[in-house]
This record gives sequence, structure tokens and C-alpha cells, in this order.
Amino acid sequence: MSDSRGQFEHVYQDCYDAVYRYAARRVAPEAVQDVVSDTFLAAWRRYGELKGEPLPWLLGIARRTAANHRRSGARRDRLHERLSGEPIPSTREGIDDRDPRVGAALATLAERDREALMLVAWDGLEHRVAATVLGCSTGAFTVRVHRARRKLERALASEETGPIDVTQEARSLQ
Amino acid sequence: MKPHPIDALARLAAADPARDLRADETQREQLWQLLAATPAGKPRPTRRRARLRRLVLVIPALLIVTAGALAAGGVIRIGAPAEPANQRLAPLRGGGLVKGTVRLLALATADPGGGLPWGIRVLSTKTGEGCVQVGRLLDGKLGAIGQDNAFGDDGQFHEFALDSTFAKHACTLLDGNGRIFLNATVGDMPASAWVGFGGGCVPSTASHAERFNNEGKPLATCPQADERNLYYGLLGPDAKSITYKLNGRSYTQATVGPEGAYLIVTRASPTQLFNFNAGGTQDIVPVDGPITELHYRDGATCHLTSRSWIGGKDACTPTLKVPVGWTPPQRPAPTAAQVAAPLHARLVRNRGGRYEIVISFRSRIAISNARSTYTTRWREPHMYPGAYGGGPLTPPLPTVGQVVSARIGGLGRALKPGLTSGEVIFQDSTGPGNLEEGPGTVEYVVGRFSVRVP
Repeated sequence: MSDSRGQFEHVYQDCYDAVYRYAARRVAPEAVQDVVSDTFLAAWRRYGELKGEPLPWLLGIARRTAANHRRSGARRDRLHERLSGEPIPSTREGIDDRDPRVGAALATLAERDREALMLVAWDGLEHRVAATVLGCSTGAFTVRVHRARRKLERALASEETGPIDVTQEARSLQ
Repeated sequence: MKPHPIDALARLAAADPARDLRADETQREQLWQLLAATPAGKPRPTRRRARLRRLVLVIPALLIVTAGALAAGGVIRIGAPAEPANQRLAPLRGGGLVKGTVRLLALATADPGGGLPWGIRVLSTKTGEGCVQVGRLLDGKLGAIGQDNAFGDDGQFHEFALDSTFAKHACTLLDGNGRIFLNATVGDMPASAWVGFGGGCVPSTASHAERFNNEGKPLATCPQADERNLYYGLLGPDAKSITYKLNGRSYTQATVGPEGAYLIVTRASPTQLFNFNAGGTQDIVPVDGPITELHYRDGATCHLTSRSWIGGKDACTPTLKVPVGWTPPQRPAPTAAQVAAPLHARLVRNRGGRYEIVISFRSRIAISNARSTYTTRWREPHMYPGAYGGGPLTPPLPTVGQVVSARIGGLGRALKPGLTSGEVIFQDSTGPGNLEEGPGTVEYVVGRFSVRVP
């Protein structure tokens, strides 16, 4: 048992930052630490099942945990708000947007396409590793990324035909 | 010019929102302490053993008698009443209890690990909400057991206070006849029926903040063997039975009493973080759990699908627009013109030097029922399209002419420089379910604001 704990500590220290950033890219800021905690707790409980590299295994857990949070999070937070009677300032997908057009184009893609591109472009994974995260073959993943890139390209072209002026939307009516 | 695919991917990489993000070292260390205090998982049980371990037995009221006998025989002693700690039914703070509405339902569900059965107690509040408490039953009382770190592991029964809540999904809006229609799925809850924020273990689905006490020390995570999934609800007087599937087998169970109540208790699976059974949800129909069909006395059947959680026309197949037996609230709803009010917004600095936006207005109507509320939504610079911040205003139940206000940016991260704009909205529910979730919620803009943050 102590050997397992020692090994797991190495995995934890090596992979924590990657899991943290993975979560930060996919859930609201206030939910990031919850996703990280849930991921490592689930991983520790199932550590005996780990075969192969730990990072794709952990990111696979984080992917499902983040999906779980996204789906139930909004409803749960609002209920908690009502039960506690206290406001929970929150933002949906409240991450910094370095390039609004890329963000908008990415948002138009299907979840599976978006996830494939994010694993490569943001999480920096090789196709072989990313395929493990998604539970598919490397070949299937490569095809998925290729198609998703083309869709992103089209979405970007579409986004760039019309400028976004945030201040126009935000004028005061008072 | 059309960008090349590689350019698109390069642009995406450059837009990585977490590229320069650094994890908080304190949180990293705290989480490791928590993991170090958590027992490692055991190998998965064989299929046959898993089936036996998850076996669900539902035995009507007879079990209550058995539980009483256990207490009388001295097997389980009665301890001090359970203080609600920080888990309270908020509606009781605001509106108070409607006398005569507290009822222990004639329903008892065996725990997969044995011991006291589980039961349900309901009550109604003056603000028009019905609340459901779930716990262990003893001698006609609902409470928790001193185990899993709760109550010093004294093994005694501790009756719940009326305003304590074990599950987050506790209250919903009453229908026009004052009935409760509520369904909840709550995963990974301790068998003690006492979540550890006031002592006791915390479920594995607790938030990061809930895993630590006020001194920052990690609280024990509940042992896997003592974690339970609860699927419970009140389907109304017209409900007849439910059908659910567990481990490949299908069960049909009659609902209980005029409330149309049901309660299923299973062991939590160590792998359930890998599907949507974990955490908890509440809806007008049972979602995220094993229930597949609702049967009504008039012969109607609601088939639940993966889209049922959306509610409305998606709640059931074939469509049942509202739960059978649910009646709409009988009360005049205000109009848009009646709620619109001049809105004031100003930029202030808080004690920490951080900018906050304070918005306020005088309410033109009185809110005395949980069917209505004021809420705010705002957008800061550089948010993705469709993203917004939000939160309620205080007081939640204003009188006519009372000032209602909210502060934006006081908690969490600082407001971003630039123009923050938003609106205050009046929400009013005429449908089933909770205000924010149920179909039939109307929204009127009270006023809009726009403030430039330096």
C-alpha cells in the first residue's frame, strides 16, 4: 500500500499542473478546483487499475468529471444559492478570451470536434496520447482532428466576415 | 483570405486561455493532504458480488416497526437531537414553517448495509415551498446515525431538526393545491445520513472547499462501502408506480400515499464518477438515475429519456407538459410595466482596494413567495459570446418601496477593466419545478446598467 501511495505521489506531482490546466480550459473558474479534486480522488481510488501512462488516464477521468460538472453545475449552484440565501457570483465559461473570434469559432463546433482540437492545441498532446484520453484508436483520432480542423477553418472564415463590437452591445439604457 | 488549416490550429493554440495559468500551491498541498488521508480503493468486486451488494430491498412500513424494536431492545440508543450546523433549509429562515404541514411519509426503504431503514419527511413553508428531508428512521422519527465520523461515532440515533437538510436538493415550489412535486438523485452520500460539514465524513462528490474545516484541515472522505445513492421523489396523488432498472433487472414499485412517494437506496459504485449518477440533481421528473417509467392511475405512462432533464416537452415521452396531477398557482402575476424601475449603478472600491459595482433600485412590487425573485446578469469585457455573470439581489423578499441591491465583483476574481454592462431581471414562475429550472418562468427587465471599470 505504501508503495502505491509513493508511486501515486509521483504521479500527482508530475501531472497536477496538466490536470489543473485541462480543467481550467473546460469549466468555470469556480469549478476548476472541484474538478481537479474529484479527478485525483477518483484516480486514487482506482489507482490499481492504471495500466500504461498516467497522464492520459488522468485526463480521461478529468474529461468525464468536467462533463459531469458542466451538466449539473448550473442547476446545482442555483439551488445552493436558493438554499443558502447567499449570492454565488459566477461566470459560465468565464476564462480569459485571448482571441474572441477563435473562441466564437470554437464554440460553433460539436463537442467531440472541439475536444479533439483542444487536446492537441491547448493540452499539447500527441495524437497517440490524446486518443487514449478519448478512448479511441490513434487512427480514428487523427481523422477526427483532421475533420475538426477543417470545420474550425470554415468557422473562422465565417466569424471574420462580421466584426464583433462588445461595446455596442453594452450601451446603457438608463 | 481563407486561412490554411495549420494556421487555424496555430491560432487556436495561441488563444489558449490557460497557457500562463499557474496552479495555487496551497490548494495543491491541501489536496495532497486529503489524498494522503483517504484510503486507497479496493479491487472491483466480481460481477456476482457486486450484484448482491447493490441489491435493493424496499419494504413498506413494517420496517419502521422493526426499527422501533431495535431501539426498544437497546440495540440503537437515542442520542441528542442533531443540530443542523450550516446545513439549513433556507426557506424556513425567510418565511417560516406552515403549521401542520410536517409529515413523516409511510415509506421505509432498507439500507443495503442493513440497520435502520431510510425514510422521508416533508413540510411546507410560508413562502410557498415544499421541502423534503431524507434520513434514517427510528420509532417514527427521522434522523442520522453516529457513524462515518458523525457524532463522534457514538452509534446512536440523532433526530433531525426541522430546518436541517441532509441533501442539497431539498425544496421546490408548491403547486396550486399546496402539493410537492419533486424528484432528486443524490449520489455518494454517507450511510449515516449526516454530511460532514458539521462533523462526519464528506462525500467524494463534495466541492473542494467543503473538504476542509475552518482551520483548513482536511475532513475525512466517507469510506466507499458507506456511500449511498438516493433516488427519491414525490410524484403526486395520481401516481401509481415507478419502474427502474438496476444491474440489468427491471423492478416496478408502487408509489406511497397521496404524495406518490418513492425512495430507492443503493450502494454508491466506485466507478460512478464516470457517468452522470454522481453528484445530484433535482427535477420535475426523475433524471440521472435508474428510473425509466412513471405510471399513473389514468393509465398514462411517462417514459424517461436522456433528454428528460431539459423538462417541458422533453420531460416525458409521450409528452406530458406538466406532471400529472400538478395544478398551476392561482395568483395574479405582475406585468413588465409594473416591475420596471430606475436602476442605479456606481463604481466603488472595497476595503481591499478592489473595484465593485453596486446596483440598487426601489422595488415597485412586494415579493412574498418563492415563485418570484430579482436576479442580475452582467457581462465583462472579453467574455465569450453567451457568457455572463449572475447572482441574486438582497433582500430576497422585498416590500413595496424597499431598496434592493447587489454588489458585483466583491468576491472571487477582480472585475476586468473596461465596460461592464448588465441588467436586473424579475423572474416569475407559473410552471412546475424550481424558479430557475421549470418551464413557465417569465422574465421582465427591471432596468439595465453600464459601468466602465478603470
